[in-house]
Amino acid sequence: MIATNRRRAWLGVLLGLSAVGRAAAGEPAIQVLDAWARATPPGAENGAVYLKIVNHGAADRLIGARSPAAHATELHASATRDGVVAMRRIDALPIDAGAIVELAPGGAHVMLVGLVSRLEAGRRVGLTLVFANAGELAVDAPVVDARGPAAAPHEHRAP
Amino acid sequence: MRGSVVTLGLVAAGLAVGAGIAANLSWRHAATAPPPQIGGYVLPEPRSLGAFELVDETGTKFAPRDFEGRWSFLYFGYTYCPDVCPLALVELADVKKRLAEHAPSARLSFFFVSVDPRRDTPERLHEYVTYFDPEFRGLTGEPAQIAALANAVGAVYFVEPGQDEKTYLVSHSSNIALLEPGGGLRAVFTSPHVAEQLADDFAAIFARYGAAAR
Repeated sequence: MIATNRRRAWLGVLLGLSAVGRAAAGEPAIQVLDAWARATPPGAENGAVYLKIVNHGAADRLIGARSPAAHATELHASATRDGVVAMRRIDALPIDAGAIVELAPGGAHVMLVGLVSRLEAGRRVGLTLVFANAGELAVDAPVVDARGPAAAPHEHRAP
Repeated sequence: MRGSVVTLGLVAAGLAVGAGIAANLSWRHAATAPPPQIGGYVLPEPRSLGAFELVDETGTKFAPRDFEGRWSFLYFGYTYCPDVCPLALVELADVKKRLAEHAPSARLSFFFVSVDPRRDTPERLHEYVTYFDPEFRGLTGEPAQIAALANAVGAVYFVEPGQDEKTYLVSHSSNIALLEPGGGLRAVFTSPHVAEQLADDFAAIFARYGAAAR
């Protein structure tokens, strides 16, 4: 466990270093990695998209999202307090300078409210993320069947 | 909400009293081991659920006695929940697979109890739960009846006011309740839920109480 954390920390350092390089080369300040949407059961009205935001530049905020896959697209955060999970709509997600912010299962996610059609594995979900400073960023998220432990390589359990 | 807090308080008090009694009597009952340590808590004696009448995922009436004859895992959630409910059901499906291998003699059922009966019809529940495992069951029904079962196992849920009446979210406890084959509450698993630990914890409970409960 400690080894894993240490490896993750090193990964962060490496990402941070490469981030500096990229910013210097004039690449976009905000980068989105490992986006995926959870495949939905039949009958489910809502879906969730997870991703990592790497900020190579100054502090920013994720302030919205749009997707043709759903009637509405919102930012949500699940938080467990006293054993009760409350999922709340949030207006903005702070992205600190140089930070890697992970939208992961059991935490923050982009919620697709009122799916136009079921999210089935193999499909892709188009998403536009809106940042306060960096502006709009198009994301193409594959739909992943996350039922098996090996099915979602980017899935991390909630703490 | 307050009722459930009181309920949890009673459970805690009960455990404390139980522990106290166990400590006082230990010199007389040296052979009596304490309940197994799990990620959550084990009730020294199973607690009756009381009365309720729900509807299962096939639309059939479901009474407390329908829990009898098998161990039941209960998770409270709703099908509009796109994040933590799928996460919990994926873990429970994994628990089911693990226990089929490690505790094959335990007869098990897994129930997803709706905290959103207004939108979760039996048909919708059936589609939703069987996606995670073909044998998963769903329970829904009148709000007061769901509340009766929730109170009996210490589950809480509530709709925050001021939300859209079509897309509202429901806050709910993330605990998993375990009923023994007599139909009473035997244990509560608290989050985070990780299949490996849930399976190990159940195996410990089953080893301790399985013979008496069968």
